[in-house]
Amino acid sequence: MSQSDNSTVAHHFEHAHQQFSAAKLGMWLFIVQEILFFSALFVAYAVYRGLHPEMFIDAHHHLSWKMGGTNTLVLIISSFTMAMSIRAAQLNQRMASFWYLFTTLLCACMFMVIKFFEYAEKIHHGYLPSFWFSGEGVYETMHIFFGIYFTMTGLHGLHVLVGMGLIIWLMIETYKGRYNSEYFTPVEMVGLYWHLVDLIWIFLFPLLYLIG
Amino acid sequence: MSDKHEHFVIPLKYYVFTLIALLILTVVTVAVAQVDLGWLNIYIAMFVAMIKAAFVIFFFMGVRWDESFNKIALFGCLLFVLIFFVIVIADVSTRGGVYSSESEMFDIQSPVRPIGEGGHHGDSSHHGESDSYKSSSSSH
Repeated sequence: MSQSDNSTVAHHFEHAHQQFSAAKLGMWLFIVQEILFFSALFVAYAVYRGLHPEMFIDAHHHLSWKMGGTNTLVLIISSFTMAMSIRAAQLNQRMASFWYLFTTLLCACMFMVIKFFEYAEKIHHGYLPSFWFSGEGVYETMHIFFGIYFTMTGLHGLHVLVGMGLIIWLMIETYKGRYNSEYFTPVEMVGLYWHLVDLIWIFLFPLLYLIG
Repeated sequence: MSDKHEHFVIPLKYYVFTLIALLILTVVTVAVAQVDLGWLNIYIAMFVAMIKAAFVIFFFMGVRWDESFNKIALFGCLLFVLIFFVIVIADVSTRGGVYSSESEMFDIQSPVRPIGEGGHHGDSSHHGESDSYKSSSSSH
């Protein structure tokens, strides 16, 4: 086992645990940065909602809370399977880890498919942000709501896509048997990232789909 | 095989409870949103979202068992997010008050004058202003 230990610990670390801690701290700093950057968008939401409260309530009726709710459930389940995949890797259960990752990926795909149908409908109604907005509603400031909607869900969707890529990579590496109870750092880090994606959606869902 | 720095494996029950709690809270937040409670709706929705976030952070992300330094990074960040929200919202939500009370500003001892009027601006003019303020208040 010390043989495999030596092969995974970089020379500037004393032991595997120190390397793991350093990687995890780096990941946390990245996550913290992500939270701060999304918080600016949430503040923008709060400011514009404060300025146009009636318009926000009217505009959100154009979003389907059923689709948003389904996506919430899908993401929560994917977060659970991701956590289970890390656990399986920690317990040397290679194939269990693989299939949990596969389920997570499946949930992520489902999220994106639902998102695709939502976007297609919004685009069909002309609710694209900025210059491309051509929708008609009771309030002429409605483009602000959809600008915020597309920016926030779009950036979140981008994070889901990146996460899907990372999960595919983890699946390949897990299948090759790269991870075990001694070394599972990438699984843990992608797990943290994936939970962050879930965390952001937990706030996006009520703010965009359930207001009023 | 066993190392003195063996990784702590989070007991399964925490993951299962978190999943169930998150599913129940999602149903709760959707159900509450169907009832019109006026201004209360947004507060309930945000409260439920924060409980859900706490479940994800403490159990799925394992912060409950994590090293203190990672906790400081996270909670420090959340503190700054809070400051960001409180200050911006306090600003935006009280601007209406500033505009409406403009007409009530009649009892100001030393109103702000445009720079052009006084001629100089610098240390000397500041002295002059504070002196005139002092003299006017002492003359009462």
